[in-house]
Amino acid sequence: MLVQDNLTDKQSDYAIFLPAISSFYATYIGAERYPDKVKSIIGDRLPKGIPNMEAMNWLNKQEALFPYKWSLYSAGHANMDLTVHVPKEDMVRGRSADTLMVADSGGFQIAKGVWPGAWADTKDKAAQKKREAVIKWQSGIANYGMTLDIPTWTYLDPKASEACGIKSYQDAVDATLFNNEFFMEARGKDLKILNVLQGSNHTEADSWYDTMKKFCSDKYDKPFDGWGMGGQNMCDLHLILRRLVTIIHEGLLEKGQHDWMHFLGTSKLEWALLLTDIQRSVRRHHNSNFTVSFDCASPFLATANGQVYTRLRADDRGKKWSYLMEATADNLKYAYGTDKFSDVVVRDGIHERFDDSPISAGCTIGDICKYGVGDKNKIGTPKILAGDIDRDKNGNPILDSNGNQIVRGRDSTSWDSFSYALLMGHNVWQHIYAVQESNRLYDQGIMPAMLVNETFTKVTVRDVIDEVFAQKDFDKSMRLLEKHSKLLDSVIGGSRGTTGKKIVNSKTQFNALFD
Amino acid sequence: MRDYLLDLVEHSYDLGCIDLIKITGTDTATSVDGLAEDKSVVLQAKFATPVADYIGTFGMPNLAKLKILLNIGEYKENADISVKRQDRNGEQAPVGLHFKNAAGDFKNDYRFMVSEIVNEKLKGVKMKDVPWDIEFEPTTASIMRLKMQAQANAEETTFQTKTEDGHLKFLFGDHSTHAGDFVFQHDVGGKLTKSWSWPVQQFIAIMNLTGDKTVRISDSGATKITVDSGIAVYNYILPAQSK
Repeated sequence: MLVQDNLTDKQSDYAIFLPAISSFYATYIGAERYPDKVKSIIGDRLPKGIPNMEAMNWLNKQEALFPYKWSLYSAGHANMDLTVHVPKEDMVRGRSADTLMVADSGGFQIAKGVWPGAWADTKDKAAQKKREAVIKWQSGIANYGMTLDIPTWTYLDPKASEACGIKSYQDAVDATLFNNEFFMEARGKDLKILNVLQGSNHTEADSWYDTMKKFCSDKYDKPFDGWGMGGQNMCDLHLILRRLVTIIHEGLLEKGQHDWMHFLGTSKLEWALLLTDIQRSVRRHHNSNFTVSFDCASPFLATANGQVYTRLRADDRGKKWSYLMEATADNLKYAYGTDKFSDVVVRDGIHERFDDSPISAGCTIGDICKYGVGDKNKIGTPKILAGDIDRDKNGNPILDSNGNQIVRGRDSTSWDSFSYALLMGHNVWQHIYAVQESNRLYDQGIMPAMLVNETFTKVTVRDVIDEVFAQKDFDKSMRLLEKHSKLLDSVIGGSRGTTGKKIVNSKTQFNALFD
Repeated sequence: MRDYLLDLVEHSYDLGCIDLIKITGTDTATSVDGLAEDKSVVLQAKFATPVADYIGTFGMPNLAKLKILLNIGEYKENADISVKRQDRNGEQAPVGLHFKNAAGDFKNDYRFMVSEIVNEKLKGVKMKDVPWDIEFEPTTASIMRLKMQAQANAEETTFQTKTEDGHLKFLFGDHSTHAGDFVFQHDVGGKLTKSWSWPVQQFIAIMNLTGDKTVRISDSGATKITVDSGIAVYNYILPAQSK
């Protein structure tokens, strides 16, 4: 009988973390559903402790080892052509109706120049083709989509600016306005759309909001259904609260109409907590349906870098709450090992402590370290030790440009691509668990140092947030935010945007004063 | 030459936030532009008299190295420090400084950045016209008082300004922190209605420079400090710090 760790049931009323699904991972889930159409990519690789591939699909309530019904998938990673059946997309396309999928639109891809086109030109065919593809795809696979926003920093990267035709801040705004109007008309009837807010500082963010807020207003018969927080809006707590107060007082966070707010790309545990505070306070004082979500791809990216989540660190008044990531076992000597993975990595001193997920609990060390010395990988390259002569798939020595044999500097990897998938699944569980467990601890009064100031009196971010939303008077809320701005600024955001003491800087005034 | 260069390095690199300057020289004027990486200080300067060796447009990168060279003992007395020029696109352009000690047995070359690159890295910026609401010459005593407050409030990276009863006050911290304030300048005449913030470190670094100083503050969120070293007039524009 399958023993499940049902993370959906454990979610309580916390802000919802959305794993940003990696297409690499999704491929394993989707493709294995169609053994008659697709050659199995895992063969006999499934660990004995994992009943089938669906056990690793958290969106499958019946079969998953850890059911969790929320996720995010990005247009930038997806095959957006819904007219063609693509087995490897089936984790997302074939999910059951009781799950919730937020689709990211791919604005980041435009900003990075990955989706070339003249995006500032409303007649450009390449941009229009992509616009149409994104909204059709979002309408087909998601509950919530996002506007195709173009971040304001796009024009600062000369290469990307050239590729996407965005040459100025105003170009980014104008192109987004056009994209929004198009999405308003072209969206599917069931797709809810989040109006993404951008801006690199408070002035830009205010200007962006003032320009884009109409899309959530009754100016439209079917306005957009919530908000997406990007740029400085996702890492600057003072700005976030100021924006939310403004949105509420302008009637743009109404129950049944604008119930969802998504924060793009944040992996900091402290933020998982304060976003719960925001959700609860807004529910308490304004909109009882209000739901906050946030996403990150860290569980997948970490694995790609050979890192595995080992445990949660969440000490009371601890300087940094986090999931510890460490390089894990990758050694040819472990091939075919039948001892439990988590036992070996602790026994051999690779990790001081390793907290099992339902996936790692089902893995032996040999399930992760697949290859031993002399084994060949899928393309036939032999696995060798440091100091051995490097050989090609035919066993012949590989020569350098001078005709000399190459001596291998380090052992071949013992992992195959499915090792990565297994560890990704483990990391996803760890990440969701860490978010939920941190919230549980926070509710017990255990809190990270970042969310409390006890220098003179005890002031908590939780109390400030609730006091701000409890006010009926706009000016009173704003005065409270000013009063506590230093505490709010001390909450460090993610790697994007400016955060901490750098929030106060010269750039806004420089732009205002100089041509 | 050495005195000019020392003056230039002191009034740019020694601020701690500028490591590249652009020189634009003609027959009639020699100007200097610099910009802190964080845009906290814009430097716009002009030499009192045109410097014939500096005709052309070029950059002086890595000012730390230039400062080291200028302070090497071998170059302090009777050294030959000259601008090297080369033909570039049919014109003689300055390409670097050649250092040679009095005996001619100790040498260094410091290379300039070519005009195309320095023009790209330090794009010319033109300040919009703003009214300067307050103008005064700070006293040595005021500067000392500023340093004392900065030391007492070392955790603060910015201070605020406001006028009260005709006096200009500097304020550190706020109700939620340790705090301090003092009158920096009495009887300033003008009035500030907005409490802008300014970078402590940069402001004090400019106050520490050699030369006569004039401070102008605009309610539009800019401070301009002019320092006349005798060799050049340096204007430092500080955009206010904000979110």
